[in-house]
Amino acid sequence: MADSTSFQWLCERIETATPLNNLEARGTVRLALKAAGLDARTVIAEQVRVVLAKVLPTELAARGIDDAEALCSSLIAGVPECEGSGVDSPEAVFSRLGG
Amino acid sequence: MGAGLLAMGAISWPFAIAARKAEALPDEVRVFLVALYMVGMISGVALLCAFNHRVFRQGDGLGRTLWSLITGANVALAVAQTIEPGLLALARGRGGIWSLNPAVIGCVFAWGCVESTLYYGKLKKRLAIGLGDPAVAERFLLWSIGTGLAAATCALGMTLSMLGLDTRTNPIALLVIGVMGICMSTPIWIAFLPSPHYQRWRGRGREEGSDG
Repeated sequence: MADSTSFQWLCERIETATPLNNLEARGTVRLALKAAGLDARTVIAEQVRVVLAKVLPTELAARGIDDAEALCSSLIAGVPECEGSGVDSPEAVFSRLGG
Repeated sequence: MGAGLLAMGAISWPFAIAARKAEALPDEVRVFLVALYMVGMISGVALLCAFNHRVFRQGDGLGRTLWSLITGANVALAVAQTIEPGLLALARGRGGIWSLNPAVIGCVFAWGCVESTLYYGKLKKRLAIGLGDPAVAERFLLWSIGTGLAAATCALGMTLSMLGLDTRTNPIALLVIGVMGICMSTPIWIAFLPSPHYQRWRGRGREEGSDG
């Protein structure tokens, strides 16, 4: 399964706006997602916005990025909605099973 | 998931007990009952494997591999038992390779337990940043506990059998397995069929927790 559209968009923005290269940007975002219990293949726009607000600033600051919080705040509004992967998440299945 | 649990527990196990206990029945009938028991077990295991794969490993090669291995092992045990020493020997409690079936069942429950535990860990992290539904996260924890206990029950059943206690006829073995069955089914019941009282109690707990 390929990485989600929202993840790829975020990595491109981080790479553009910081001294991080492609590999470093993707690695940083993946670590932030992992810390938030999320996966690059299935993360959706709503989750990316929360990661931008609460997790990524810390990860970027740890890598010496100045004004990480302002950068992340500026990106929140532009996160694209991604098309459904066609695969139900475990959360969606368990949510239905409980009624 | 429901169909798998039903096939294994409520449908096939009574056939096994009937085949073992009803010694007055003709051999052909006892063999038929054992065959029904095996079909129920194989179907139930396959359905639970399908659930694990569909929910946690869809599109994942590891899920397909586990499903194939576990289901294939179960079918192989059934074929081997049928060839030698035969289904009548199983009905008469004379064992055979099918006695390894609880190990296969334990594997499918252990798979579900591991997957659900790992996913619960992810959901806890999400809840910490305000994502996700606490009730759904709790459902994963309860399923993890239920399937873990189910795997333990399978291990216990095999241990009792190795000690010479037939889990289909020995009162002590039946009592122990029965109690374990209640223990394992309780969290699963709560997870997917919670009573209104339980839902109100958990709802109050979450409100108090959010008040700090």
